[in-house]
Amino acid sequence: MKQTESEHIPPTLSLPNQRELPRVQLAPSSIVTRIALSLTSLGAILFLYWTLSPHYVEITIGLFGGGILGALITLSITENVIKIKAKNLFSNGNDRDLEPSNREENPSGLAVLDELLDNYRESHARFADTLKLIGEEAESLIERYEVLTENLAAAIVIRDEDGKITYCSPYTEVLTGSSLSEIYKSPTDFFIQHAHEEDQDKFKRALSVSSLGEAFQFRYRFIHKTGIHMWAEMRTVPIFSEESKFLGTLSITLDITGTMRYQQQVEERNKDLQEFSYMISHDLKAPIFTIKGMMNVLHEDHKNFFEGERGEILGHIEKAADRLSTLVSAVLEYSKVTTRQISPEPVDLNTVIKEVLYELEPSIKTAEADIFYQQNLPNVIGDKLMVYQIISNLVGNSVKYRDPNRALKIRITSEGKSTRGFVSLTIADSGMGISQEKIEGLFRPFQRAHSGSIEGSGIGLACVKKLLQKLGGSVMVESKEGVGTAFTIKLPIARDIKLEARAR
Amino acid sequence: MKPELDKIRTILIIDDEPAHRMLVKRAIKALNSDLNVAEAWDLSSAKEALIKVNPVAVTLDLSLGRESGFDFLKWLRQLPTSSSVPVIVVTTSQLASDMTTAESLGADAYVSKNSDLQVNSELIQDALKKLLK
Repeated sequence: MKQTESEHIPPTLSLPNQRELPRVQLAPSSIVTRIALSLTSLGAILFLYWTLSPHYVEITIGLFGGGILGALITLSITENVIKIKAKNLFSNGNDRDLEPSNREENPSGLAVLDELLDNYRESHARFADTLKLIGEEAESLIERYEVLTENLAAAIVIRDEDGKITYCSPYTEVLTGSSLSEIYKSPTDFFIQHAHEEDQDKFKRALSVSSLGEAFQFRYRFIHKTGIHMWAEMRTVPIFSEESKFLGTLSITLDITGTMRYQQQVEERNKDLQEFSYMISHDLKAPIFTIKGMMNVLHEDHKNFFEGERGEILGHIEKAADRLSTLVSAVLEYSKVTTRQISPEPVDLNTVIKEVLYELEPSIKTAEADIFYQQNLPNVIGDKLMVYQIISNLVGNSVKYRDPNRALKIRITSEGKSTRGFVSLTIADSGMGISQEKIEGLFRPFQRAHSGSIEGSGIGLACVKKLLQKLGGSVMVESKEGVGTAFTIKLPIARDIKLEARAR
Repeated sequence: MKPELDKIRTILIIDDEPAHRMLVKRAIKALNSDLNVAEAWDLSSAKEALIKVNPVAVTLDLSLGRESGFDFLKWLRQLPTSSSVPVIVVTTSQLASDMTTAESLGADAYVSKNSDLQVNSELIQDALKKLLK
């Protein structure tokens, strides 16, 4: 029978004694209500304790057991009450028991009661089964909890309201190299004592902050029993009783030595890169300077040396030296962009655009470009020099890769103030455009869409992308060969401007 | 190879690359052909030349093979006789940190060897003009 408890009285049942029976009829349903209520509250308590303080399993189990006991007592009492009530009702004052032989004297009433009691017993049995299941579930939860705390590669430490360590998970031994008893016996807080000198104050502050009811997370160095210096990340949360009384703190500490070592490696690699760019700036530039310098001397002092085929050959050497020089500068520039630190500040796009146009004025005039730029653009968050480099590169490209057969138009526009905290700026031109297959590698270093005909290092757009990545922005390109190109960059909007706009 | 000696208005060029010394020398001669030049290529030849020729100015490359031009600058500024000799650093380095280090060690001018030779010579000449008033 898979009926739910609230439905266990068949609705078609006809009751002969309308005056008396409703009392009996009500009793089982109120029991059912009680069962349901006990179950619900039990569930609620279990759920609350389990989610809020998973580390207080003991409390949970205690309450849980209490709940089960209470529910059982309620049940057995109500069962007796029904029996007594039923007896009084159907005996009609006689002391006859509700035995099968007597039932025939009042067959309809007894049948109803029988059915009610059967239904009730059945639900009672089901309830007992459910409780047993819940009990088993709780046991398996405890097991799981134990398996978790014992095998988790994190030290779980509980301190009481005075900061005394009352619990350490087994992993604490692995993390510190000291035995649990050593940790418990330590006259001062074991973890503070073994933290790196410079991090001890930070540690104490963390504990006092969490005693004020704030969670706290920080990294610190500590010394393993073997003397090895290690890194740990500790998250500390306060524990409160139901009455909001501070009970202590719970800390979870992870060994992050590996991560920190990796980070150091990355930093070292960055340093290597910086040294590499230094090498390039110095060692590669010097021979180029020599070649070009000596060519210059030849030009000045031995003009006739350049006559005929010799002149042509020397011309090739000169061009190659120029190209080499451009490439070395490009590599240097790219590595500078990669390693440069930024100091984010509000940047006025309007000023930057005006400065870029001023700087590019000679080439814009030569190209006879018609330039339109939108006014009243919002501030962005970035590094002014980087934002300048980005816009200068893009506008410079528009001028450089113009279509000689058409008039050049450049439009610098913004869609709106902010799309999800970003300002988008589109630089569109009526230039040569880029073919579909070239667009893919457009932002890679030394990939050029128009190689050969126009001088360039192939580093400009790679730098633009790198710079935007550093500033937390992005760049997109749309282009059609023979029509033009549009670059859209997105930069994070400066917050103070946003607030100003709201205040208005 | 001994450094050239000249007691009258000599400029000491320190650079490990002969072609670069030649270029600096040409820039100096183009400015004023009466100026003499002495050449040095490493720390020891530079120290020797400085004491012998008592230059009115020094042009200094920062990378002298395995040695550093900064070491020469430090040594020079410690000497009582040459602590105020104008020093023009001429280098291929484009690192801002090298420029600040040079300045803090007492360099008077800093010229980057860029590939535009015309500009480069003019920069050296301008620095010399200012320093040799």
